[in-house]
Amino acid sequence: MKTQTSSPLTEATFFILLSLSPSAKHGYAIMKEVKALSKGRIVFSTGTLYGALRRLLEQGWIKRVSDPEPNPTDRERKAYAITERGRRIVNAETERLKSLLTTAQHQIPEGPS
Amino acid sequence: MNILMQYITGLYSRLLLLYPSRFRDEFAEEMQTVFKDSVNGTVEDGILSLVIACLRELGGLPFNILREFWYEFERKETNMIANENVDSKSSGEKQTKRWDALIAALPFILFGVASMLGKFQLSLLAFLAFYFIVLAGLLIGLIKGVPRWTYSYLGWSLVFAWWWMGMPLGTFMQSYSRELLGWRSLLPFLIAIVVALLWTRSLNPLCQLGKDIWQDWTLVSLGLYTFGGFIFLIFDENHHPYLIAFMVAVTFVIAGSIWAYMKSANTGKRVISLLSGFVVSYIIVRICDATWDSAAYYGFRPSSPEQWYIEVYRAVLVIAFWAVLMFWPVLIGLIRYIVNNRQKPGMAA
Repeated sequence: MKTQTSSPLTEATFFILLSLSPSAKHGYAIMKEVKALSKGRIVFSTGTLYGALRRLLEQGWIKRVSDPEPNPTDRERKAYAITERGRRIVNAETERLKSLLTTAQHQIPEGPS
Repeated sequence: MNILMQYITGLYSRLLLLYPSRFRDEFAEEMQTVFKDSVNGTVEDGILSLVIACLRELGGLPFNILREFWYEFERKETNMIANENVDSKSSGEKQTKRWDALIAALPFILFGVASMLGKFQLSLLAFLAFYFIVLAGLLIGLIKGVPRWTYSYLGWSLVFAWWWMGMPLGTFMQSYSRELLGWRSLLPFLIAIVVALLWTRSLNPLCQLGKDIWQDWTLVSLGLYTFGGFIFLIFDENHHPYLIAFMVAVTFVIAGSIWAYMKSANTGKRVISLLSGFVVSYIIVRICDATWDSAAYYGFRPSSPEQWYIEVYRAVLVIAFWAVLMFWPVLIGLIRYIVNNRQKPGMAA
């Protein structure tokens, strides 16, 4: 069973973890949040989302919790929250991306060429 | 619009059945809810958005399903190697129960009996009943999680289908006899496989077959041994005055070798069980041939007697040929050995 190494993360994994950073969310809310965070670039199909969630669950980067926004008319939905380990991973990835950006900004001269 | 939505969500819930059962059990209900929410969300944006959302789901579906099946396969493989490392006595090394050994030997006994009945003008009925029983055994074995005796039924199902195809040795379409059923004789076998998959609603039976063979390559040899059993037990165009006695003897020897195979706790003993069953059966069949004057029976010109060393030479060649045919799956064991030895350092880390 292959497990994704902590760094670098795939864009989809990074955005899922990022979407869960502020609060726990259920599947549809994650889909909407990722779409918004990626400015419409990443739109998950349900199958792709749950494939990714399954791996994140097994890696222990996210966990199942009760829905923070339960719908009284609907049956209880499962929600997902980022774990401490997942948070460390997303922070490390953010630092890595920052470092890359800083290096790139130093290397590429600003202004018209 | 509501009817359309109901139809789309209904269709989606059917499509979810294509995922592996473990994945389905864990996520299918949730995925249906999310898909419903997702489709409802697009309705406000118009029919085009709805179509795009559906196409997105449909387009990604084959890849997602294949990915999850691959993931299941990899997970099972890793668990299996981990279990082997923890406990060197893997499931392939365990001894089989007496009852299971008897079930494995049963098709060999039944084919021997059917072959004997065939000598009394009951061949069609007896062999049809035999094919039905081995197919039923195969189906039950696949549904029950592929116990070791299933391979006996799998082998016999294939041998029987091959026989009634006209025993083609080249492509499926070439056969020396066009009187038989041709490729159609494979249909009951294929139907049994499909029914098992539908019954379990997963590819688990087939995955289990692959997993078992990976753990114990002699299971393929057991399947191939049925070809030997078929050749020894058929006694075609043999009219020896004591034919039934020879048939009973060969049936006992072959069924006994299967019993010994099933009761053996390691690969070496299993190989010896099959090989010794083959050698003893071959000797009995040769004695049967040598003590019956087929030329006189059929009115042919009598052939000159052969030197004893030619008979020994022939026996060695035949046994060597069949040994290669039955035990080539040792290559699977070799690959497994190499793979396991490569993965051990990683597991320790």
